[in-house]
Amino acid sequence: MRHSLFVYDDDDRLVEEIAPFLLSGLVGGEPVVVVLDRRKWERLARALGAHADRVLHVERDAFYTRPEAAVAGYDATLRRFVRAGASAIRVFGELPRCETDADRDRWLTYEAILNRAFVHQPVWVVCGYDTREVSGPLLDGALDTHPELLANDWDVSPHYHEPEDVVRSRTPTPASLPDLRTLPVPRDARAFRRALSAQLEAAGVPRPEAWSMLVAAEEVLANAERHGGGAPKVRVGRVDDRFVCEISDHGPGIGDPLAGFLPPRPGHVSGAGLWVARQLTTQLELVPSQTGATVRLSV
Amino acid sequence: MAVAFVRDRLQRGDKVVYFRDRDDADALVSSLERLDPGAIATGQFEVRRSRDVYLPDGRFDADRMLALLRDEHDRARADGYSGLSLTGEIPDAVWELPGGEQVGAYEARLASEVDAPECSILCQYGHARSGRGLPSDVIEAHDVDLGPELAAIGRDGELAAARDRQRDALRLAGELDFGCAQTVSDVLDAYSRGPLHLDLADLTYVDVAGMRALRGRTRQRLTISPASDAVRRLLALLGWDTDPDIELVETGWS
Repeated sequence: MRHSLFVYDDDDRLVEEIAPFLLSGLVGGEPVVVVLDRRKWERLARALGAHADRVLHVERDAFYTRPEAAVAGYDATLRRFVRAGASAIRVFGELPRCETDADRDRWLTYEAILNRAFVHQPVWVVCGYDTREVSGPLLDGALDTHPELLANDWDVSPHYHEPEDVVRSRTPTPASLPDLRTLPVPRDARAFRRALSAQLEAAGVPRPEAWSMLVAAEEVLANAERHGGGAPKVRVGRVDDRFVCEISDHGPGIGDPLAGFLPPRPGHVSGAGLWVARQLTTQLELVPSQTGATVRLSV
Repeated sequence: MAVAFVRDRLQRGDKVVYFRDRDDADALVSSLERLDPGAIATGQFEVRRSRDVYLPDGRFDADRMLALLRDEHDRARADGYSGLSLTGEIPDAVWELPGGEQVGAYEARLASEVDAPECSILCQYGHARSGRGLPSDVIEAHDVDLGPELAAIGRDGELAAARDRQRDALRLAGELDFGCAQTVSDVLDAYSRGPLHLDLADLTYVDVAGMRALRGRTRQRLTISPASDAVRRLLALLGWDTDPDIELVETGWS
C-alpha cells in the first residue's frame, strides 16, 4: 500500500494533479475509486472525459460516517477488486469536514490506522486536503499520518509518525461511569447472553442494536475468558441516549491501541473478535484500570 | 432444523403435523406457530402430543402406526393439500416400553410402505436425552441421520447437528458460541473429509470462535447454503465473502 498526502487550495490545482493520477490508473486497467463531494467530482469527471465512466465514485459524506465503518468499507471494496483479479488499485479521497477537535482527532486516528489496515493490498491511496476547508491543526495531523506527500514529486514525508503513537495520543481517556449496574458473574456464554438480553430489553434498546450489542459483548467476554484470567466483571446501564456494557478482567490488558481496528485477514487468527465488536457498536473504548483490562461498548 | 422443514413444507402447500414429546419444546413450538399463524387457524399446521400418537396404550405397534400415517396422508390429500409432512420427536419412553424394539423395523418400513412422493418425514431424536447413539437400524432408515459421531455436539450447548444424506450436507441448528466451538471443531476434524456442505438456516446465534470452528483445523472448502441472518452478517464482517475457499449460496426464502 501507498498512502500519500496532496494539499491544494483551488479546484484547478486539484484537477491538474489528480486527473493525471487517476487517468494513468484507468489506462492501465486498474480499478479506480474516488470518494469526494459531488461538485469536486464533477470537475474531475469533466477532465477525465469518457474514462470517468469507469471510476467508482462514492459520495464523501455518505461514506465517511465513522472511522470503523470507513475502514470496513474500503476493506470490502479492495477485497472484491482483488478477488476479481486486480493487481493494482487507485483511490483518491477526502475526509468529511471536521467541526470539532474530537472529530479531527477521530479522523486523524483513521488516517493513521489506514497505514496498518491495508499493508497487504496493492492499493495507492491519495488523500486530498483542501486548505479552504481544513484547519491548521488538521493539516499538521495529516502530515503526521501520511508516509508520502506531493511536493515537487511524491516524496517521503519527514513528519510521519508510527500509527500506534498517533492513535494513542489522539484517543481521549474515557471517564469512569460509576452508575452502571453490576451483573452476576456469567456462568457461560449462553447465560451471559440471556442476562444481557434481558437488560437490553428492559432498557428498550431496539432489536438490531440489541443483537449487535449481544454479539459484540460476547466477543469481548470471549477475549476476557481467554486472556483475562476468567471471572470477568460485567456492568451495564443507560448513559444519556446510549446503552453501555463494560467488561473487566484480571489480565494484562490490551496494549495495542490498534486492537480491533484492523480488518481480519485469511490465515490471521487473532484479533477478529475485537474487530467484530468495533464494527457492531457505535463505540468501543479501552478504559484504564488498575486490576486488568476493561472494555466499554456503546450502542 | 425443524423450523426450516416446517417453513419449507407449508410454503409448498403440504399439511404439516408436528409430533411433540418434550415438555421443554415450548419455545420451538411457539416459533413454529409464529412462522405462519394462518396455517394454524386453517388446520394446515397441527401440533400433537407424540405420546398419544405413538403410545396410546403404553406400547408401540408398528402396524398400527403405519396404518395411522397412511390414513393421515389420504386425509390430507382429500382435504386438498399437496401432500403430508411429518416431523417431531418419537417419545423417549418408547425405548423402554413394549414394542420399542420394533422402531428400527418401523422406520425402514416407513420408507418403503408410505412411499408416496408427496409424503415427507423428518425424524428427530434428541441426543442429549437418550445419552447414547441410536440403534443403527434406525439410522440406516433415514435420509437425515444424527450419526453417533455427532452426538458430542448436542451434549455441549444449545446446538444440534444432523447429516442430510440426500444433499450430503451437515445441518447445524441452535447457538454455536465459544463454549461449544472446540467440540464442533473436533467433530468436524475427525469425521469430515474434503469439501464440507453446511446448512446453517437455523443457526440462530454464532460468534467468531463458532465460525472458525466450522473451518476445522484443515481449513477445508466450505459451501454454506442456506444461512441464517446471524451467519450471513458475521460472514461478511469476517471478510469470508471474498474467501475463495468459502461459498455462500443465496436461497430465495431466508
